[in-house]
Amino acid sequence: MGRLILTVDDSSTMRQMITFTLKGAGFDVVEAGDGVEALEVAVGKKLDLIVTDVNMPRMDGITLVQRLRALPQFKFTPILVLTTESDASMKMKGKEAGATGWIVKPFSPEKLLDTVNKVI
Amino acid sequence: MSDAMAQFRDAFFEEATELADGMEATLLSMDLESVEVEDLHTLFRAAHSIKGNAATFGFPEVAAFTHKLESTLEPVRQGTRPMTPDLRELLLQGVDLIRSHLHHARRGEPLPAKEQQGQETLVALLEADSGAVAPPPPPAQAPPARTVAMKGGRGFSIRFEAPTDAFRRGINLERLFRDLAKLGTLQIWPDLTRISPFEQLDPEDCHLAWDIRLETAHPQIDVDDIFEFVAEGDNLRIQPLAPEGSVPSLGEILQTEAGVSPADIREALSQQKRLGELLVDMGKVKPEAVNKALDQQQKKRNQAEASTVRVATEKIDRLVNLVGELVITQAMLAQASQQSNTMQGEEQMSAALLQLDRQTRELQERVMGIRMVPVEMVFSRFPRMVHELGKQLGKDVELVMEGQSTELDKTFIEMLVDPLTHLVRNAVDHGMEDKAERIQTGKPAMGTIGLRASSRGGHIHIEVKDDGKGLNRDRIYQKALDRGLIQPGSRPSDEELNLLIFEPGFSTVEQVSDLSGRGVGMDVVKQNVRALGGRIEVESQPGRGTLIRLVLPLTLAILDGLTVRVAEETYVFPLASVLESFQTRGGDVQTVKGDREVISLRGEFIPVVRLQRLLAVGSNQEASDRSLLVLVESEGRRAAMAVDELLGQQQVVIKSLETHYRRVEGISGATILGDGRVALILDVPGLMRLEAGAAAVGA
Repeated sequence: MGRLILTVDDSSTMRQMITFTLKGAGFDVVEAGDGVEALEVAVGKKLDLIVTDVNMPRMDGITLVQRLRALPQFKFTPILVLTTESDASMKMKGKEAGATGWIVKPFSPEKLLDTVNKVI
Repeated sequence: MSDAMAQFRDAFFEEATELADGMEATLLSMDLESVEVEDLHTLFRAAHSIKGNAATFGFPEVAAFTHKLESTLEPVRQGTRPMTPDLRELLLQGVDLIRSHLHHARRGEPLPAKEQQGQETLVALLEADSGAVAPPPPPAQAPPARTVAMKGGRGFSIRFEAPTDAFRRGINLERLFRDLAKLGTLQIWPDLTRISPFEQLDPEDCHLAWDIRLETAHPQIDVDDIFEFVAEGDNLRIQPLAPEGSVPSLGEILQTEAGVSPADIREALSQQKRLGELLVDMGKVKPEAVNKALDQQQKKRNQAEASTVRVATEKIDRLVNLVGELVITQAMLAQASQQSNTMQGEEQMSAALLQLDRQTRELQERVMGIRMVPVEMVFSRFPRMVHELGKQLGKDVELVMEGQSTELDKTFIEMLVDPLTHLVRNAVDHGMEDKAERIQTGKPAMGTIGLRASSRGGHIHIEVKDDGKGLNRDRIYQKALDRGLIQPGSRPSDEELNLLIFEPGFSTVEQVSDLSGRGVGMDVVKQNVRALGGRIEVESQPGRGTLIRLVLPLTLAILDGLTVRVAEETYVFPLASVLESFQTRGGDVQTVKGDREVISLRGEFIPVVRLQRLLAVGSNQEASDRSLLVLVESEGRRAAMAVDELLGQQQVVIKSLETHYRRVEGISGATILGDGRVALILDVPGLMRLEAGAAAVGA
């Protein structure tokens, strides 16, 4: 496999859960604690997928998606946003920004893997 | 379509209709000067839900159009586009179109061409009106199919147009087809017609579309799930394939066997003409005849649709419980009857009978309750109507409604629609003065129409009130004289004059408007209300306004009656029309004009009607010193009916005589008494007409 996924979340517990699940499914994972750190981590890497939370300090997930899409390197890279709201607005904001899809929190590891497999 | 699916569709239509009604109510109640953000969110959510559900349940046209409204609303709720009166009008029209869409979709017909054009115009206006605002943001994601686990069928026919930004969002379309293929057998027809000409082509835009035939036993949610991130309401249409065993359509066979693309089949079908058009083209029938036939068909459909009633589940649950209790009572009775000769058995018997009595009464009430629906069902149309009327007539009108939750028999609701519509129209059109006139007379420029329903001691009152100029009784008097409705020189009371406006062809307006004033309609109000066993009251003060009150019985099916004996027969007077009953003393009843009898009661002469003679039962009652009289009133006229005995008051269940026998003048129906005998229910106005006829013949 060897596919690389970047997971971005300010909650370390959440990051751990995601990393654990993805690694268990055979993916390689890199982590970042907010949007700014994510950009630093991402640049220069060949990422197959980015999974990002929305509400984060310094740079939120929506801005991160916009910034990533502006970089030629990540123009077509699948990006999933983690939303807490099940209502349409956050999904829509994510979509507007260029996100590929979303996962509504709370989610199970199975749901995470299902959704990841849907986009890459 | 499987039954389960059909059920969901019904639920979809009901929910969507409610959502549309909600949108209308929100739009109308909105204060444009200071718009509540929450209202905008409410509007948006409603449009969004209709759209999402429509797409889910396979009504792409509904979804597509609602999507337009939703896109219009998005910048409005974001605060980047103002809610103007014009926009409100457009959105109201939009709501109407949604309703029309739903109406036609429910019958499985396409939107009529005329409305289709209307829709295009409306959409153009909505988009044009948005002015310099940034292009509408990408539409919201249709919610994934509700958690309803639909039973899998044979598969689905899918039309999918990829979102334009699919590539830019990193969507892997290949993955999508791979996932679909995992569900079953796929047949795919790419549709390249949406690709722009080369010089306008943006390689990063996605213009691909596909027609897909998926044979699978998986339920639709699995398919929906695959499209989760790319479904935008109108770009995805999923329709179940016809169930196994049914004869496939020619198009379907050609698709599977000859590889004809669904797009081509759609185009071919769109060129097909309908039966009416073909017949007209052949010169076999006139277009008007076709239209008339279509209208007729529509009416039948409406009737079929109107004959259902929605019942709250708790009402039904209570009934189920009651039936359970009845079964227990029955067991108690059975047991008691076995030991009926013992003391204990007798006690048990009477306890059980008491219980049965209570349960039967409750069962009766609850079953009747099923027919009761809130008057809101009629009222809800009026805010819109008053709004439109006010605009049309250049009047500022406010509608104040009260008591919408008052419950009425469903039949009543249906029969009240026309009368109330007419009364409200009339109030705005004639009752209400022009703005200028109102200001001149020192009234607020904004007129108020009150619509109120309340329940009062066994009756329902529905009032339509305006604060306009009031009835012009002089003119009514003059008009009534001209039409010969009153005798010259007579001096009718204000109340009697007021009621004349309900006479056929009676209108005192010189200038007949489009809306009302033709004198057609007010008599319909009277007819319908009378058919419901109700009456009309009018209060009017010059310069202050008019109040029209419809007094209706609670339900048609049950009647509070006064049972009386006439000769050997039992009859029932509707208690509502009985004023009092009394025994005469010698000399009370006087004979005038040879054979007509009258009685003087508190200074008023009231005709005496001998029911034995009028109904031709028993040997004729002769005027005796001691007669038992029941004083009844109907439409302002009174009569004293002579009976032989008063038996009592009781609720009776009305059975139609017409259905079982035929119409009989003076009798409004029949009922079955406790002892199993049939008693006829007297129709008081009918009896008065009979008596008047008999007197005319006799004279």
